[in-house]
Amino acid sequence: MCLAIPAMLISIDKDRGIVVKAGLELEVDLTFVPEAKIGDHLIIHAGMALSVMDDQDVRETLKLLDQELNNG
Amino acid sequence: MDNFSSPKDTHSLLNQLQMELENENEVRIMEFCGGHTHQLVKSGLMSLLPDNLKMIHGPGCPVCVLPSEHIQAALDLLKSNSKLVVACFGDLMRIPTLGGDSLLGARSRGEDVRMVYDPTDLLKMAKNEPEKLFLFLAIGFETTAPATARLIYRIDEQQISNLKVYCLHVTTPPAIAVVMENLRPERRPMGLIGPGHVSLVTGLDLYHQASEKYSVPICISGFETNDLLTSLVTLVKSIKNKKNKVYNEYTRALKSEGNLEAQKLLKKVFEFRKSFYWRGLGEISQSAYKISPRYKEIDAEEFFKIKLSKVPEHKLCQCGSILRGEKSPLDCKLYAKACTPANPLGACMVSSEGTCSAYYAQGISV
Ligand code: SF4
Ligand code: SF4
Repeated sequence: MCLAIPAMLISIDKDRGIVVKAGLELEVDLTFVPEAKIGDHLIIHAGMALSVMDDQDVRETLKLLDQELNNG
Repeated sequence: MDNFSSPKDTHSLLNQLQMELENENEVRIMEFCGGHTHQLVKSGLMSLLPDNLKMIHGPGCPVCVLPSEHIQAALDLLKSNSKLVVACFGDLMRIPTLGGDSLLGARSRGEDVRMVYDPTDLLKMAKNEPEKLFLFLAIGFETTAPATARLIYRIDEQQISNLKVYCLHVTTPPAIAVVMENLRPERRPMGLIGPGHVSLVTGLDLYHQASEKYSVPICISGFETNDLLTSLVTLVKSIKNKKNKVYNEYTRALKSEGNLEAQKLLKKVFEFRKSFYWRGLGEISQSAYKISPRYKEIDAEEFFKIKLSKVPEHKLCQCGSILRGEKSPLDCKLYAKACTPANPLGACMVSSEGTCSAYYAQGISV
């Protein structure tokens, strides 16, 4: 039930923002992500943005985890 | 971000997992979160995993662990108060009480029950319909609690008097503890996949404590198929090397400190209940939030003087053992016969993240 979706921020008005996901515009609350900028991908749950995403890929993640694993 | 669903990567991750598990004894890994269970089953991954990798499904769905007496309380209030509007997330609508009633049933009888996606929409509704009294049933783990906290904060700020909140939010760490402490050793998971979205809010601290206490590695994972596979590879390696560490697979969204702004608001708006009854897991101390006294005008428990009477579950329903990771839906005599998503007899069949419902959707049969 706490599925959260990534969506791109296209406008900001104080603590409210508009994101687009699959062509649909959605109003979100930005209180918890004061660092968010237009163009960022946010993770949205129940109308709240909970985090700003970093672009990254699987292989990079796996490499990072492997390093973790091997360091002590 | 499409890489996290690329079939080529899926293939190579599956191969890697197979290699890691070759000639190994059984490895048991639990995914705590219902969202992960749903994805494991929906993607078909469950049937592609090596035989000696055993997935144990965890209790991580707030719909499944909510005892139905809270729904009964809301239904009773609807009967006795003609101005009342009950609002909730969609999943809650279908939780059956023992008598077979539900919020959906109440709505089809003409009661005012509304589904919301964003709880702050209720601010507008309450202002536009001052003659009504709104009750929001707030459920969810730490992922959802910040949205409720924000709603309460704004009800207070805007002085809205016809919108009350019934806070039924639960927290993750005590549920992990109950599962780890109660499972028989031969069922106990040797590694955990941690819930990515809960962690966006809480950060990683709580997992460091759990990992140390129960001597298991924990990998916090995103929700795509390749996220889950990457986490499984990491956990299997780490189990083999006896490294009980906490890994963050979901680095593209998850910071290790979590969301500090959300944590601040949670502290301000909520406090811990002494104890809360979880379906399937029983009473757990310090495992749920209540609204802090400073917002008591908004607290539905205070306002409606809500009293609960325990509602027993269906006698044959195995949700309890399933939520504790002891049984699978296939061990339930009602599964796919009397109990289906269209007519759920227990909570695990209600939400699409419930283990029974996830199995049913994929046609997994006895
Ligand atoms: S993300 Fe949270 S609410 Fe959703 S299924 Fe997982 S633990 Fe449950
Ligand atoms: S199949 Fe239905 S009755 Fe059986 S355990 Fe699952 S939810 Fe309960």
